[in-house]
Amino acid sequence: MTEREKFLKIARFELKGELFLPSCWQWFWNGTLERWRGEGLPGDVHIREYFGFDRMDYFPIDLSSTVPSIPPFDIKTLEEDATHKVIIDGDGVKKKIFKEQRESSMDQWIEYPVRDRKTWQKYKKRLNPHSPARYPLWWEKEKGRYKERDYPLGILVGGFFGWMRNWIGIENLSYLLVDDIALIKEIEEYTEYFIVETIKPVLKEIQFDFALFWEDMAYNKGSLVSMEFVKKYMVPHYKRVTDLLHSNGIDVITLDSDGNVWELIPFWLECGINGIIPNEVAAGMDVVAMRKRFGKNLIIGGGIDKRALSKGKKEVEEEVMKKVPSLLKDGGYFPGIDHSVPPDAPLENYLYYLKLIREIGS
Amino acid sequence: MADLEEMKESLIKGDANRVKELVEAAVKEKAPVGEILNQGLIAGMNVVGVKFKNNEFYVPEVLIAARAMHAGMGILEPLLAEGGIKPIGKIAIGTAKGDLHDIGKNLVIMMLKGGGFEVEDLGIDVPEEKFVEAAKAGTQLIGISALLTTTMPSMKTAIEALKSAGLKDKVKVMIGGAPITQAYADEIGADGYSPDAASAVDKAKELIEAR
Repeated sequence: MTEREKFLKIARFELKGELFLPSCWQWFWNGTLERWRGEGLPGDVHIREYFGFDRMDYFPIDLSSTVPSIPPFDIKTLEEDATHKVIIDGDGVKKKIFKEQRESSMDQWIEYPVRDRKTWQKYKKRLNPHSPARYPLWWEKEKGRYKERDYPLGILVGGFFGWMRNWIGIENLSYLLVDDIALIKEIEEYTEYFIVETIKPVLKEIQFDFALFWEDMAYNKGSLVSMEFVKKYMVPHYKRVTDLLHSNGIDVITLDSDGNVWELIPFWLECGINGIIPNEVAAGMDVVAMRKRFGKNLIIGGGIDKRALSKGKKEVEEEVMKKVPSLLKDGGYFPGIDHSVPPDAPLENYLYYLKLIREIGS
Repeated sequence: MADLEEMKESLIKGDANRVKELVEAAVKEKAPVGEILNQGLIAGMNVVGVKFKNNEFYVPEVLIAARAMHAGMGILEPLLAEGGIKPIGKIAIGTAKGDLHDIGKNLVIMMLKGGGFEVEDLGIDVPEEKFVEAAKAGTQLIGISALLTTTMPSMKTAIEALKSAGLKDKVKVMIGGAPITQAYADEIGADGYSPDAASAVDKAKELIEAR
């Protein structure tokens, strides 16, 4: 059985008790890897290969957490002190960032490129789905290698909240809901057009195994926006994208959102989105309870509490044993730490976590 | 006669223009400033807080209501001192050292202001010395937020700095943020923890009353 077959069989609940560790669904802070190198992790390895992850990949059109502005904005440094810089990044966002170890914190987003109708019209010009630069270099010649593969290949399909929030900011977005709702509708419509037009050509050429939306639209209390907003302004657009994916033979349609997404899941399921990652425990997600509630309608990824890794082997074992055996035996589960592995996790504990899930999976 | 009930309802709906008009009208009619503040604006924000806690309101509804509150306060603020109206407490709040993420902190500030507190925004990536300075300057409560597990330990460092400066008994410390739990607050010696921005107002009142 190839990795591709194994991934699909697990995702479709046809293969039970087997482990597939998706290489694209586990992230590590740079600080964690630095620490681990001091604890024996070789510095000259591909870490996902070293840890024995199973190969999976995304087709290289970047419709993930950011959608590249083409052409990009000129990156500028506006202010600088000993530890921080204020910059305009390639997507036109004014941010305060750390000069070193930037990934150890989220940036402070100060000003967004879209503030009103005028700035949206200007920004939209950089979101042309037909820009040749959205596709990989030598695409026509390269596409053959994606057709002949034995690993799962996914397509990124953006999102209808996360991108808009990144363009406008949550505060201005909130005000626009009252001040100019027509603009929000227009942005959502254009986003759908942009996603569909960008992915259409490649869907014709390549049979994908899964798709991934990116939203990050929740925090520890729940969704950032109301279910009324989701129903009215997001659901119709999701449906048109998932219809396109279904008509191209893609039945594993996943979504990445941090935070507590419990109340959002029924809406996503209604739209044909049938997999959720990374299911953060600290935000209130519980993968065992999710399986109980949504059964085989929902593929689950992640869900192992990152905080257990810093505590000790006993806590790692408790966390793994209360979740992984029951979920693996049904299929439809891809174990993983519930977001990036943090720097307070010793390598020894992470290796112990991998050993445990491999023992269960074998 | 000043329609404080309409002011409250308009604030809950987030109608900033209407709130501003109603506050202007109330001031013109010489309605007591304390009544405008407490029965109009703060009463409205209290309802917003309850609805937020009950998941009837989400972040946008809170931000829109806070904008309406701000519009009303723009008229009222210069008159508060004249009317002898004092804030119910003074709070200094910032994100933990190493943490640049400020959406949660800003939301808490809006709710606290809406609850009648005077809030000093210490900003982001706040070193422990700055919390110590705020405590020395007489703030009653310090609020610290962290988004990531990587920046949580800075909260402990700040509390230890307050202890070393001999200020821990004079000021209460409240913490919050995505990875924070009551257990963590207990572990590091924080006086309070709030799971969300609306509950932060209740917790702040409780801690200030307990001083």
